[in-house]
Amino acid sequence: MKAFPDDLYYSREHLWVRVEGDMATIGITDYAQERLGEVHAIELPDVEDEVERDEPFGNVEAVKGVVELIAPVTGEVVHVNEDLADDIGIINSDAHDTGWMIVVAMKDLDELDDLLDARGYQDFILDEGEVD
Amino acid sequence: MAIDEAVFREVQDRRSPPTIRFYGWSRPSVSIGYFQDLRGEVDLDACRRLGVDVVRRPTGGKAVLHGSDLTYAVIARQEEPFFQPGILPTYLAISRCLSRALRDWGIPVDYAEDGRPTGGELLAASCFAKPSRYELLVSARKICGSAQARSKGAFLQHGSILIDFDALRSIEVLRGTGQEQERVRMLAASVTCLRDFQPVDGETPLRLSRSLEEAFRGEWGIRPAAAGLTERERALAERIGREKHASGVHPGFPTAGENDEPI
Repeated sequence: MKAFPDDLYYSREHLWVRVEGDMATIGITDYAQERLGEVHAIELPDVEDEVERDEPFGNVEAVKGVVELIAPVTGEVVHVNEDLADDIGIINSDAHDTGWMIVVAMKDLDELDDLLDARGYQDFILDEGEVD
Repeated sequence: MAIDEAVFREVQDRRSPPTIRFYGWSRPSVSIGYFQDLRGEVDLDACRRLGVDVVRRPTGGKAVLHGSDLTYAVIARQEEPFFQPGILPTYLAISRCLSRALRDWGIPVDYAEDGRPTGGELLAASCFAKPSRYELLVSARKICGSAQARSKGAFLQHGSILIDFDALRSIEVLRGTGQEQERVRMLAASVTCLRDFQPVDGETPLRLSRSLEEAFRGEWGIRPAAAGLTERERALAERIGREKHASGVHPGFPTAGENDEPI
């Protein structure tokens, strides 16, 4: 059963964004982790790196496919989830919570307007024919 | 492989058309997966001693020793009509084409049903030790290894079709645990190649690439046009090559024996 929490924004690149003030916590969606299968490896930026909307900020590898992570917002990385280094499995087991990847101090909150809500994201993946 | 990566970037941005490339290698080279630990999984001293280059792929997966293979790259956006979204459906769509060509050569290939470790830690670094779903097997032995990268709605799938295979040389350049002799035996038992089915010579890669082109045409109903690189692709490939040289990992560009002509 895929989860689409209502309190998140979603990107068309299958990332979720949780907003608190001008801070955006980012991870891959439960839907995306299910499609990827078991994640084996991840590469994320460092704290103080800049990420730019629609540009890659990292990679995950699962089942012989490397998938680039495309930033949903622009800003400076202020936290990186170091728990992933100890247990990368939480990306699969708890994608929307403890499997978060980075926190970004957003430069332009208007970028959130281009993201989807839970209903919009479900419609998006249905339109793309991406539901099994 | 820097060229493949450059075309991948251009396809992502919709500036280049879907592209299929086939090429060989001017020198034996190990390509390692994007996330592989270079020094942990490749014996660089052995590579130096044996004249084997090392390149890092943008795609995932494990290490491949190239030189007696035909390498392919398929680069497209996932909304092209032949592909269902996702890594495994793309594997299947491409495996259908590859298997059609190999069956035309009288090689009875099947699709791997699931990942099947064949050597555990003994062969952990080698792509050919473990088939992934939809990769091509002949009597449960792997004949082609493939790997993907995906970004911005596009994918690059690399693969290596074995024309000949030297298990000893692969084991010499890839790290593993246990006795070398046992590792060679296990790897040889898990891999097959064209030479096991018919005589091969210097013309085999070209003839195979033509059969593959025909199979892609037949399977997908496409009419690929031969074309060189665009100016942007060439410039980007050179830049990627320079950047990877600077990072200490040879990018595999340019290689004098590599056929630069995508079809």
